[in-house]
Amino acid sequence: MNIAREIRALNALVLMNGLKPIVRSPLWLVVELSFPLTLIFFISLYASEKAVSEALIGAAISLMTLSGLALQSDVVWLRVELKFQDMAVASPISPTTYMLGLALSELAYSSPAILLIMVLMILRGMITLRSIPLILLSLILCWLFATSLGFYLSTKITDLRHIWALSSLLSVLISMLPPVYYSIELLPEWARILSLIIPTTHAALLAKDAVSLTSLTLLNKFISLTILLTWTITLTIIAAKRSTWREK
Amino acid sequence: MEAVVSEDLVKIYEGGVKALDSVSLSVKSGIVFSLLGRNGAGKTTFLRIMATQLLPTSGRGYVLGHDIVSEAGKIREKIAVIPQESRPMYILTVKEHVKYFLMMRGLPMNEASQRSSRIIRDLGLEEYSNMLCMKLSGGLRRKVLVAMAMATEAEILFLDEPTTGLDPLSRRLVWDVIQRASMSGQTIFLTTHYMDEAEKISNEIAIIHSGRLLASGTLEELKKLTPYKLKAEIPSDSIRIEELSEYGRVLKLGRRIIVYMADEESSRKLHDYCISMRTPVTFSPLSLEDLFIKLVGENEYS
Repeated sequence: MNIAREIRALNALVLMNGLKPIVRSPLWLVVELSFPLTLIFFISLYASEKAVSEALIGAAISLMTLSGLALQSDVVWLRVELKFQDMAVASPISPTTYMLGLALSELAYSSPAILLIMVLMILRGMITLRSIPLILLSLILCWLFATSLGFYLSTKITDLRHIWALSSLLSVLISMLPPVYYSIELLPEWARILSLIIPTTHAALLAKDAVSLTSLTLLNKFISLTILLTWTITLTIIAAKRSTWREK
Repeated sequence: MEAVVSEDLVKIYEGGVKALDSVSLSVKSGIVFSLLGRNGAGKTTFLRIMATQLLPTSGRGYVLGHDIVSEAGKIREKIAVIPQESRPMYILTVKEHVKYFLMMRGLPMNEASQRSSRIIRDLGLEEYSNMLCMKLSGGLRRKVLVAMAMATEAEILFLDEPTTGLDPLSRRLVWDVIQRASMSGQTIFLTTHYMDEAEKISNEIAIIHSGRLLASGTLEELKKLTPYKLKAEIPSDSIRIEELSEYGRVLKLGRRIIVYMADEESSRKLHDYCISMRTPVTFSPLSLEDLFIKLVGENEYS
């Protein structure tokens, strides 16, 4: 593998699908921010300070997850509508670099919003130097997991309308419904158990533990990290091995 | 060396549609090769298989000596493709498209920038270089895609109907660039509906119909597949069709009657007959289009 060449390819994809479109259509940055900030606003009206802090963590996790899932629509758009993926397939770029490049371009849209959430968390005194590694790890694993899921699904679907519907549904199921924006303790027992299947629940638990919003035992921390890692690794392998790059 | 070789290539899509039926074809390096066929004939399927975008059901294929199934990675280093019905990204400029595409293929930014400027100039796109693609006409957008592929300077360019939607002058500009690429050693494999395009720029031509290869070779070789050398066109309302059969093979195409003739003697006789009937007639040598009609769909038009 030629690292310099891979970096150039990543750079090109980020520029063409992320930075240039953002500069020419900055409204998208506001759109990215509007959803989590609206939720935080409502939560701040009705709930406690602790709930607002939890919602901020949830917003960061949700933004990273949605950034990964947003990859679905772009991949299908580029493949079906523009036939750009056909040009990429018949070129030296690997599917992994293509996926990563597009995923990074999606992250360019979410980055200002995530940065703002981080600044709000710092201003509220939530983040300490010790908490940063675990927060970052949770966010990165969420992004990787959602990116792999998004890419895998996008290569299996040929109709853009289906991917829009699927993307919206997955966003709700992965980042809205589970205890990401709110505390897991608010859920009834059966829902709590159910929510533990979902990787974002564990990312939220780890991040909330890192900022002392919840207190996980070492064993629980290990279990959450293992589940989150298992999801991420499994989906990354599936995306790398089972995604359709060359059509059959 | 052969640039593209297929041996008994078969493609059956899910649902049982047979798109290619034992296609064996060979394309020499450094030439412009046109694959002609009607809609749904299998042109795009063949191109996509050879460009490593689609797997064949059976048979073998080689591009620059590499197996299309097991050595796709090696092939992809040496080819570039313009897919049919592809479109540029509306939010990028012409130059950005070409430059970023080259960078995506691994070229350093400076080289990508220089190459993109050169191809943009060669294709007459200079005045649009910094214009967003959303502001370009359909033909110009198509030209941007041609620029992207040509700028790669790949050993083989697979162009799926590259000039569809272009005005006559733009088509000629693209032809020029294609021919220059071929002269510099690149192989151009293109599919087209335009007979004049295939006739003017191709060194070799193949005709495919219903997934089967009907003919392949130079234009002169293809013309030898029919006994006819000349054709005459006569307005259908000025003469009775039955009276023309003694001069050659007669076809009625809309309001025209076409008479295919094997020799000049027949054409002289037909000429005299038309003068005696005070009927206008135009004679011309047999074209690729005539050959295509004969091979592919004579019955449908008669």
